[in-house]
Amino acid sequence: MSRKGSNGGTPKPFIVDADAHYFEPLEEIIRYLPEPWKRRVAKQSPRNLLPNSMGDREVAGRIRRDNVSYPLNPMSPAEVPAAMKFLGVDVSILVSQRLITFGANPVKDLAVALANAYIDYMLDQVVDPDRGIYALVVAPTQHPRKAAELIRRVAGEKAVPGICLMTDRLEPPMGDDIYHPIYEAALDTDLPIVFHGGGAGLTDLGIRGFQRFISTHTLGFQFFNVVQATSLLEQGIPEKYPGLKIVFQECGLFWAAGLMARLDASYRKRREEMPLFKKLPSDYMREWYYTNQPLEEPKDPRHLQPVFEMIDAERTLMYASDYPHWDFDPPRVIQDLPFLSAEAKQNILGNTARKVYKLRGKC
Amino acid sequence: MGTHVVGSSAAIPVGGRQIVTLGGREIGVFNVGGRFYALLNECAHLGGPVCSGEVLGKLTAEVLPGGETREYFTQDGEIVACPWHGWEFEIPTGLCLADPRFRLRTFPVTVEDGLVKVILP
Repeated sequence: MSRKGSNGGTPKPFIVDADAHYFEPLEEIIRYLPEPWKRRVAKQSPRNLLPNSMGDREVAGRIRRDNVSYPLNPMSPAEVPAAMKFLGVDVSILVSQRLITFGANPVKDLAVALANAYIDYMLDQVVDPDRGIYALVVAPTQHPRKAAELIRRVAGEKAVPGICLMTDRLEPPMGDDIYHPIYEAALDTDLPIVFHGGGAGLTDLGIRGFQRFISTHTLGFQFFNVVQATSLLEQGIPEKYPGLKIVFQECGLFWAAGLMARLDASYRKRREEMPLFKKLPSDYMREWYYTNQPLEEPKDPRHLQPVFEMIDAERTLMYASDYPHWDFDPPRVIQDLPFLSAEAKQNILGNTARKVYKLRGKC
Repeated sequence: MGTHVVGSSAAIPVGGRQIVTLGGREIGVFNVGGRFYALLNECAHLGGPVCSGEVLGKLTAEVLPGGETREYFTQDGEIVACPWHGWEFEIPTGLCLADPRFRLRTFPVTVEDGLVKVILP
C-alpha cells in the first residue's frame, strides 16, 4: 500500500461516509423518552440498559481519538463536523452507538421507546443535512408494526436517508414474515434497509467459551451478516419485495463473496428449497450494497481484487469509516487501491451512496 | 537532510519521548533505558500518529510443562502502539510486532555534549 493517497492531479473526490458512529449522551435520549420509561431509565444503570459486550474495544486503553470524546465520554453535536474534517468526508451518515446491541433487547416497549427517542434527539440536536450530517432511523425489530409506524413518521425528514436494523442476536432472522411491515414501510417510503451487525453477541449465543474480544468481534459481525443475508434469501425477500434496497454494513467484503459462492453451490443442488428464485443467490446478492469497513487486509493485498470483482464492488460498494471505532477506515483504504479505476473509486467513495440514500440535503 | 539538534537529552527522561518536526518531517524521539531512538511519526498501516501512542511492553506467552499458558511482558518500554488502530512497533527497530514486513522508518540518533541529534538522510 502506498504511503500517500493516490489522487494527485485529480480534484478531491466528493466523499460520503455511509457509517459513522455518534456516541449519544444517554441523558439526552432520556429527555425524549415518554413516561414511564423516562423516569425508569433515568434511574437505571446505563451499563444494564442494553446488552454489553465482552472485552475492551480499545485494546486495554491504547486506542485514542483526538477530535471526539469517544471512547471515554459521549460526544457532543459539534464533534461531528470535527470528525468529518479529520476524515476528509463531505457527508456523514450517522449510526447510533448506544443502540448497536439493541436488537437483542427482549423488552419490546422499551425498544420502541428508545428507537423513537433516539431519532427525535438526533433530529432535534445533531443532524444538519445541509451540512452533510444525516442519521439512520433505527427500527425496533422487536415490534415490527411499531417499527413501521416509526419509519413512516420520520421518512419525510430530509436528514433520514435510511432504516437501520441492528442484527446482533436479532431473532428470528430478518427473512421471517413477521418483519413484512418493516419491508413494506421501506418500500413505501423509498428508504434503504441497512443491516448493521455487532461484535458483542457471540458471548451470549449457544457457543460459549470465547475469551478474547478478537474472536467475538472477528466472528460476530461476520456471523450476524451471514445469518441475515441467508435468511433474506431463504425466504425470498428479494422476490417478495422487488425494488427494496438492501445494504450490509461493517464486515468488509469477504463474507459476502464467500457466502455467494457457497449458496450458489447449494442452490444448484437444492433449488426446490428456494422456489421463488429466478436466478442464482449470488445474482440477488449483487443487487445489494456493501460497505468496506473494516476492509480486510490479506497478507498479499492483491487478493482483494478478485473479491471486489465477485461482489461487483464498482457498483455495490460504498465507503464507510465506522469512525470513531477502534477499527475505523479512512478514505485512503479505497483511494490507495491500485486495481480500481478513477471512476470506480468515485463510485465507491460517494456516487453509489448518493444514489442508494437519495440524499436530500448536501450531496 | 543532515544533522538536526532535538534538544537537551535531560529533557527526554528514560521512558519519555518528544515529537519534533525536523526537515519538514514529524519525528518521535524516544528514550528507552537511556538509549535514544528516532522514528517517523507516520504509522506503516494508514499513516496515524504512531509516535504519540502508548509506550508499553510486549505481551508474550509460553506453554509451561503441564500445558498451562503463562503470559508475561518482555521488552518493557520498548514498544509503541499507534492510537488509531493499535498496531504495535518495536521502538529500537521500527518493526511491527504482528507482521514484521511492516516497519516504521527509523533515523540514526547521537548524543553529543548533552544534546540529542537526529541524522536525516
